[in-house]
Amino acid sequence: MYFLSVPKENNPEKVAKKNIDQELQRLMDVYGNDVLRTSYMYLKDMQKAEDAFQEVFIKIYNKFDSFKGESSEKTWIIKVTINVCKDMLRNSWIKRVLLTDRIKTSGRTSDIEGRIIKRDENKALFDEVLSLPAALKEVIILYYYHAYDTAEISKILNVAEGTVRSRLHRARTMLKGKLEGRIDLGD
Amino acid sequence: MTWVINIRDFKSIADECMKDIKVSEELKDKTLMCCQKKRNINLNIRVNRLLVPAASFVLILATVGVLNLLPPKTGTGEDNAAQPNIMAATDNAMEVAPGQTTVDILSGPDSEAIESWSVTNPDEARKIFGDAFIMPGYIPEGFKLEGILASGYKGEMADKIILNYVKEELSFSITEETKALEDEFSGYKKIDINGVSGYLKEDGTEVHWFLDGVHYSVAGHISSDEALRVAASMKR
Repeated sequence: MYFLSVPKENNPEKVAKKNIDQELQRLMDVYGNDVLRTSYMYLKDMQKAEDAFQEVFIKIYNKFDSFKGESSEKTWIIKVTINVCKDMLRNSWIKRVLLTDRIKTSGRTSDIEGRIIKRDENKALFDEVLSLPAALKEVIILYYYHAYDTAEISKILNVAEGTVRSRLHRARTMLKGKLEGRIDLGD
Repeated sequence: MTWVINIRDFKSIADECMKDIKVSEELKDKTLMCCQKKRNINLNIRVNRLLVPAASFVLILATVGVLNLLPPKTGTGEDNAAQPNIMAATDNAMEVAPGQTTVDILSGPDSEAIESWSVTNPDEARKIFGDAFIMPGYIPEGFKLEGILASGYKGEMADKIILNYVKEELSFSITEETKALEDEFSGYKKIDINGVSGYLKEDGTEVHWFLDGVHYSVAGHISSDEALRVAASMKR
């Protein structure tokens, strides 16, 4: 029945919707690694990062129509990623209590984490960034990893630009303290 | 030991630390499948949303029918006459409402567009994909078939089938795809699958082979040995 039905309209918007699967595939191909790595840095857990990845693209899929091109495609996707990760952190205690089974990680995942742990001293910086409080970590990720400026970050996080600057400052100070002067902050 | 790390290098440092973190085809397929499921659920909700007002409309028609046919001071014998009329009004309304929703919701996606949809069982997958569709004869212990996703141009045979297998938190998928070109598999180990050449990636297991223009692959949270056993069990 579905196959036999006759297309009723050629409204471009409707046609665009039909290509949504292809579009999602393209977005996953182009931005997938950015989403997965950002989620990993935020959540510090491969399984959770993969869950976040799925959640991000499900949201993108459902909100296709609401993307108005006010920001770049990447900025939109990174904003969704940050929000999904925040929600997951917020809810993580519930999961710890109610869904302890889900915390098991797969063989492949722990391999990856194991291999990551063995890295050289640059790893110290990576580790310290990952263990920053979420509010400071997100500005470091957006500023240094995604190369957004403070104005763009303020839009992504919905906070004042001054707040972004002060968080960046606090994050740098904290990293300096943790890494005992072995870090060049480029000040 | 002293060294100075420049935070401006954070991007390259982080990418180096996360060089093994990449989105697998399996994760993309799983995500698409989730979206697909949600869309089906949303469609059902839309059907319900349209049916509820339609049902209310029927009720109103029926009520109006009753009120019109029941004058304030009913004479004897008129009650009986009212009964068939109520039924008639209801029947008419019912004929219209579901017909309209079918047109609105199921009317044609653009025939040029690639769509994906869930398939209920392997037999159905064979019908829409053709004889090139193969079910594995061997599946690692504990894994169960969680879902089958098909995609292709609307109104044509499916050109891709994805079988998703899960065991608790672990999962792997088998993909069968016509219209696939033999991509470059540099960095993959050359192997033999039932007499045809194939490719193996052991790190984040993937097995690929091509048979009569169809690209088959097994990928996911299973060991290379298990993936090769699954692949070897896929015979026409």
